[in-house]
Amino acid sequence: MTTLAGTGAILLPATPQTVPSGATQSFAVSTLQGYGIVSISGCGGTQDGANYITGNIVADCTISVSATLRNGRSTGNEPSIADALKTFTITAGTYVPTTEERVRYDVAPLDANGNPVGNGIIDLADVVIILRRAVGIGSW
Amino acid sequence: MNLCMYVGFFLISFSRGVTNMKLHKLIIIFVLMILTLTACGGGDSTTPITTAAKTQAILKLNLTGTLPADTAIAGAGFTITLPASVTPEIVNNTVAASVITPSGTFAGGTQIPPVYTAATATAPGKIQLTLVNAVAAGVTQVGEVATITLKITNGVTPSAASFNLSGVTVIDTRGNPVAGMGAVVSGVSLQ
Repeated sequence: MTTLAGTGAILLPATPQTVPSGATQSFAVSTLQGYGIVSISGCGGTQDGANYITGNIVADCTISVSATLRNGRSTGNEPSIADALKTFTITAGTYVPTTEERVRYDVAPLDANGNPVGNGIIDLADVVIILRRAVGIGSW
Repeated sequence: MNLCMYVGFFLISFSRGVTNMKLHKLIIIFVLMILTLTACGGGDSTTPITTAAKTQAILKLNLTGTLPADTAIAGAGFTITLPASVTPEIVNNTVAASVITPSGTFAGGTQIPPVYTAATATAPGKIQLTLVNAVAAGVTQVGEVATITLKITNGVTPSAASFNLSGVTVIDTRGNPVAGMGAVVSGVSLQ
C-alpha cells in the first residue's frame, strides 16, 4: 500500500505499508499551515475525522490525497472584492462551489498569527475576512 | 400677467371704439366690477404654494450591543427589508455604488456589491449588505456604520420603524462571530 500526497497534504505513515491480506490500515490526515484537504481516496477507504481508514486490503493499492491553500481567491496573488462577492453568493446559496473552492474560500477563523484555519463552513465570516484581505488588511 | 388681465385689457380697448362718452365710462365701470367679482381684482390670484414631494430617504445604520473585552469588529452583514415604494437606485441591474456608504466607525471602509431583491406581490423588497471597516486592528465601538440612500415614490414618508433589520452578523478581526450584537436604523431623513 502506497501513499501519494499532493502539495500541502500530509498522510502518515508516508512510507509504503504492508498489511496482511484482508486487514485494514489507518492513516493520519493533515495539512501544512494554510492548506485544507480537497480530496482523499484509494484502497476502498473512508475518512473519519483526521483519519483515513482503508477497506480490507487484498491487493496493492494507492491512497491519494490533495490539498489547496485557503487563500480566498480564484486567480491572482490576492483576493479581490469579486472573490468576496463569490463567497457571499456561496453563503446565499446562489452559487455552488467546486470541491476546491469549498476549501479556498473557507478561510475563517484565523489563527493567532492571522493565518487562515477554516472551519469547514463558508459563511459571512469568510466573506468579511476575504473582503478585508481584498483591501489590504492582513498578510496571508 | 394672468388671464383676467388680458380679458380686462381687451374689453377696455374695445370700449375706446365707442364714441358715446357716457357709454364708454359705463363699459369701463362694468368691466372693473366684473373683474372684481370674478376674483380678478388682485390679492391671492397667483399659483398656490405646494410642498415638493420627498424623493429620497437617507438612513443611518447603527450597530448596538456590548462588545466583549478584547474583541474588535472587522465587519458586519445585514438584511434590510424595505417598506413599499422605497427602492435603491439600480444601475446595470445592480445596486448603484452610491446607495450604501460606510460611515461612522466604518468610514473609509468597503463593501461587497449589495444584493437587492425587488418586492413582489407577496414579499417586500430587501437589500443584503456586507461591510468591513478600514481599521486593521478593528473597531472597538458600536454606533453608526453605514449611510443608506434610497428612492421613495408615491408620496410615502417612511420612518426608522418602517425598515426591518434581520440577519445581523458581526465578525471580529479573527473571523469569529461576535455574540450579543444587534443593529438598528437610528434615523431617517427625507429629502
